[in-house]
Amino acid sequence: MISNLSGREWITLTVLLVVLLGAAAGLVWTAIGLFRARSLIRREFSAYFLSPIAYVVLVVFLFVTGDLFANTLDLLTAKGPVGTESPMQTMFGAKLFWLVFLFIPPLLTMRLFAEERSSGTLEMLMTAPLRDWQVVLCKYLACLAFYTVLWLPTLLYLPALLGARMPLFHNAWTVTSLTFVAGLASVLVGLVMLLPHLGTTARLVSLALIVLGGMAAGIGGWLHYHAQGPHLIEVPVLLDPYPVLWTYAGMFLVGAMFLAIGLLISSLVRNQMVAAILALAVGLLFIGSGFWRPELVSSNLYNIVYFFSVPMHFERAFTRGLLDSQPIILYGSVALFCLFLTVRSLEARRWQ
Amino acid sequence: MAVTAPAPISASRRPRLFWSRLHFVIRLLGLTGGLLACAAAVLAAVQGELRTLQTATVPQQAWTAGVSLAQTAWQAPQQNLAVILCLAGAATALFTLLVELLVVLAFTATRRSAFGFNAVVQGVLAAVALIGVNLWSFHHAAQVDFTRDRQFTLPAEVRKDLAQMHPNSPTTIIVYNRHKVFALAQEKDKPEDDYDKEAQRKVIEKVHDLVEQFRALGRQFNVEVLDTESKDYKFTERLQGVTLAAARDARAGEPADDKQAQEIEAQIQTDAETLRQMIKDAPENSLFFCGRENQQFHVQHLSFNDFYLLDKTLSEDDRGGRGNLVLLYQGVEPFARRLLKLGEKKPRIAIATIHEVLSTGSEYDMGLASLRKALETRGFDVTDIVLKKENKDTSRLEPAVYSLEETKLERLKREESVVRQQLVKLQSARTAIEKERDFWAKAADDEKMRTSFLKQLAEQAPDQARQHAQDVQEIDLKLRQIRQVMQAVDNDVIRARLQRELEQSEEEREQFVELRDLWQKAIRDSAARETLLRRIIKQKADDYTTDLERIDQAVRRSERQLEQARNDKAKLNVRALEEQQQMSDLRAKLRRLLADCDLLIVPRMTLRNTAAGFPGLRPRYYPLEAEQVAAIKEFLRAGKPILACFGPLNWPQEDGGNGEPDGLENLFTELGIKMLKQTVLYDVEEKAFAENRAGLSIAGSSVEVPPLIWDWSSRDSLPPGSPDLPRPASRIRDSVRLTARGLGKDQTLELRIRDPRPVYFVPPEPPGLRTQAVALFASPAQPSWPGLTLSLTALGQSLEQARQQLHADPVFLMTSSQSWNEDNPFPSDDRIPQFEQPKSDKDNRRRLKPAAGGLETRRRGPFPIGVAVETTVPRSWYASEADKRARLRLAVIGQGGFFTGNDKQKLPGAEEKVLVHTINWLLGRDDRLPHDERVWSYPRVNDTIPPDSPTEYLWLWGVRLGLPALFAYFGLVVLLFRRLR
Repeated sequence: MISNLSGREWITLTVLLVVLLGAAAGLVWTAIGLFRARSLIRREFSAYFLSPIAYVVLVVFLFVTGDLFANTLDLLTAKGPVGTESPMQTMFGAKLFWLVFLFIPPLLTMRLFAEERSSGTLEMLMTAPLRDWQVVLCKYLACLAFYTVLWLPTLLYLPALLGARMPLFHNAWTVTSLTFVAGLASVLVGLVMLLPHLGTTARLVSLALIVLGGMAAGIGGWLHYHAQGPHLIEVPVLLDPYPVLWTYAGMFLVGAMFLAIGLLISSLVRNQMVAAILALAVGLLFIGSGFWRPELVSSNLYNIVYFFSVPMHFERAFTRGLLDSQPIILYGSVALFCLFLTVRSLEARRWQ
Repeated sequence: MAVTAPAPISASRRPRLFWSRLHFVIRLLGLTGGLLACAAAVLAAVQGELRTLQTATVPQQAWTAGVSLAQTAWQAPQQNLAVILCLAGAATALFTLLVELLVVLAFTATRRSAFGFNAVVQGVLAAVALIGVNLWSFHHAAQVDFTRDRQFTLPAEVRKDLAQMHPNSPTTIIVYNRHKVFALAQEKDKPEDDYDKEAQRKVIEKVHDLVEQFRALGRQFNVEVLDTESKDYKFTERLQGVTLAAARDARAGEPADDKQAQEIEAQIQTDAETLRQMIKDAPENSLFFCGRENQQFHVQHLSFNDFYLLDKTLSEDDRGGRGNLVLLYQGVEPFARRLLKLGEKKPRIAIATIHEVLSTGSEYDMGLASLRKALETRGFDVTDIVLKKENKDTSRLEPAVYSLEETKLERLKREESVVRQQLVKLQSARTAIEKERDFWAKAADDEKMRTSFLKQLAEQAPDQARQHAQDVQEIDLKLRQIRQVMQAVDNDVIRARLQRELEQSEEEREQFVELRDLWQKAIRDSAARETLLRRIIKQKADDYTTDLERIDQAVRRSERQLEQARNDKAKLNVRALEEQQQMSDLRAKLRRLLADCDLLIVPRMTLRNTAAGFPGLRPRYYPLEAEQVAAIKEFLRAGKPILACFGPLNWPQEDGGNGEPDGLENLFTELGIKMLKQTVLYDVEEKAFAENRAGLSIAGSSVEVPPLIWDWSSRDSLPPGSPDLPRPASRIRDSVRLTARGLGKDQTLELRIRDPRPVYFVPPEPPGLRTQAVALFASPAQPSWPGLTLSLTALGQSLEQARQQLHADPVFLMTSSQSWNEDNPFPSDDRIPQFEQPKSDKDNRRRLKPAAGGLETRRRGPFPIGVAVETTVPRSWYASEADKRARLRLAVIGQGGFFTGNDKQKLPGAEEKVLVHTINWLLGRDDRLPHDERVWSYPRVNDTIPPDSPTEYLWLWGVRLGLPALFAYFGLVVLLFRRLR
């Protein structure tokens, strides 16, 4: 097959390879940089759990999603002709959810730089042996991690929403299933090793175990569950699980975008409240447009509104198991752009 | 920057201050301009001035639309104030941006800010990259369907076909929501229930999903939503706009000079009107696909039910009666087919009647205008064939073959001739009246005539005076009576009426009194006679003048009629039609008319209501000539289908008696369809006859007969005495039943047919063989092996044929069991039709199958009255043994008035469904018949979480309150812990 490639195809492949290698190298370099600044990530992450506002956010968020869950469950067990075809759509297509969601990223990000700046600890941070991008990424990852933690309790809803029954275990030991189990074990060992303070080498080993184990579990699991025959564990579900998967993936991506926006704004202003209000205003552009829904018409207006409207992305795509390139690119590019500008903003403080 | 930089105290302070203030003014202007542009844009959008911009799909199109908008606004600023303001504001904002750019460039020219400039450039580049990536993403959107059942992925064949569509041929899909799920008659007065509303909402959602999938494959699809109950727009205005835009889009890109442009515009208006009419006529929620194919505007129609069908019965019964929404998915194919084959030739249906009055062009309720309307709405072409014409001399019906246009021409010619004759008569009457008027006008001045009249008056005066005195007395009496009644009556309405009558009578009395006095005076007084004569002459002259005016009016009316007839005639291709009329070979002419038709419908409306004074049309009007039958036979031999709606042949004995089956009916008999010479009467009609006879009811016609049934045993559809062969239901019956399930379990599809004719399908037997076999088998005196073998062969052959021809139950319409078959369904002075049990015929038990007469044995219902079969044309119909025998589909309904109604009436929903399903089946379009292979319903988790169970409550409240409470607890613990430190 390779021998049949034309000259142009060879060039394309080579360029792609170079780009991929460059990206991989960049990722490794970033990962090393982040590993060196892990204490900052830890500090930022643990700060959330010591702050009352994080718990307020958690409680309000869980209360609202819990209420939406209850409404969705009502529809799934309803009497009469009402119901829902996509439970995730019912939950996350609701205006109430997006109204609450609008406040979450600003509340999580408002303090990141603005607090440091107002309390005067930013200068101290800037003198630490860290590059600007390391500071920005550490704060961002910590915030993203807390955002992820925010969503973890909602996984409890899934058995009910999917109509899951008790899992079935089969004696299906193949190469792929063994790889899957070994990968999971490796991740578990890696996580356990992170708990005690075992020094840099042990931490590197644990990280390697987690990454490699995760990859092995992913590949092995994928191959095992796409092969014919009995599988190690089967969870019989009535409803389609893929929309759930893509909803969570989408929520992670949209969170990454809004947190990056919040981070940028926090780096530009001194007052936390101002940072929160500005982040809220920017978020409103993406979320508010979803509340105004033009009729299904083939006009550019509809296409433009759809392009920017996060609630519409979830209503029409993620919650129904559709993967749409437009929102994914939008979320990713805006997040990267904001992170880049945040780094530049920190740099600007240096030369000012 | 320039504004905020501290100004050094120097000699150059004044100019810096000036520039600073100028900069401020420019910025203020820019901001104001931006605000103004936004506000004006919103205003213009609300007023619909930006519609061309909104519908543009590519940047170039948007640019052209924008330029054109600006030019229009420039030429007529008063009418486009919002656009002018928007443009002015945008220009100011752009100017300010330009100034800002220059300021930034000037700022970055200093060395001090070079580092900052570097950062700005990086930021700008990043922004450009962000915009670029997202612009690319906007124009190259891709969706991947990761659902378990790939529910958002079109079948590969459809995608392949769509890929072949021309990208520059725009197609508009109009989603028309008229808030009617089913166009069924009994739903007319019934409000939509929860099932209907939810089904409607879900199907619209599904339609939108599908449209989006199609749009993802081809951007040439425009989608417009028309909602009759929308609060966002006025429906009629939007209908106007959408249809015009659809017609205009279809013609987009046609190169034309000024003259052609006018023609195209006129054509666009016509196309839009056609589309508008189709939308208005749609009986239920529908989709319309419109676009251009082969230089012509085409519209395809699809009902929501052709896409998803509500099964309310199943919905109500789901999960032990808890209910759910159950829809029967008909697949994406009906949708795709219409979209891909916009210009597909419409099936052509010929409707053969015996008179224009019974045709689809008739305005009478016995015509078939509503049938035409229903068929055309469903995408069929309809053509009429008239098989008889009225003899001018004898007024009898003679065999003929006319198209509706020919009949119309004939009628117009006759009308023209009648009106001309009428005009001649009117002219002569006018001349006569003029003479009379002149005579009386002369009488006033002619002394001799006056003397003669005065003499006559003197002679008549006593009698006339007496007569008028008597009149006055009578009217006085009447007045007294009215006054007495008025005193006795309390009712205001009656009193008012009596008052009016009283006033009129008083006026009359005054006139009579005056006449009486005049005549009394005339007895003695010559002067009074003179006055009376003058009055009489004047009265006569006035009367004749009035008559002349009336005649003039009648002449004008006749002239208008003549003009109308001439105009109507001018619209016809008279020469071609006259040539056609001259064609005397009935067979050739009918063959020619049927050549391009895909289906023939032959309605024969005979009995409509035996209990009413006017039972219907005589069966004797209908028989066709052998030549006409031969042409229809050729049509059948070609494998083309026929739907025959033949009413009973029964007719009152005193009015000529029963009709006889004609050649066409015999053709059906050869194909196995037996239509009995009987009428099915219902038990309720017996009561109606009795009431009618006793004078309790004016006409028994008001009695409602029981509806047809849709569930019966296989034995009921077979001729009496036949061995029971369990078979699946016919596709038509299945389709009707599926449609009926949309009404719910408490309702049935109420289709009532009065006075139908029993129709059976008896498969034709192998010629000769069976007769011999039965003869040999039935003679035990001479048992022989050849005879037995022959019998068994015949039996096997019969069974094989039965298996081939009766693989499904042929009956699709069945009367209720409260009915019986009647040879004489007409009540008379000494007889009321009622069911009588016949004496048992023991001989019948020994026969393999009852004789032909057996079918007509009087019995209780149910009776088959609609049969649809797919059969093979008999070999005897072909000239050569080598000819390939065609397979053909036939449907016969035992009532000719099934689809009647004038053009103002709509075919009732139930009848329309039966008609459309039958026609689709006859045309071999089985894929368009509803099916229940794919059932959709809302997912339920009742198996894992039983409703109203502790598990459900645990889930509901555990998640709603438990989880937040848990994290609130953690938060408080942390708070306390922090305080502890």
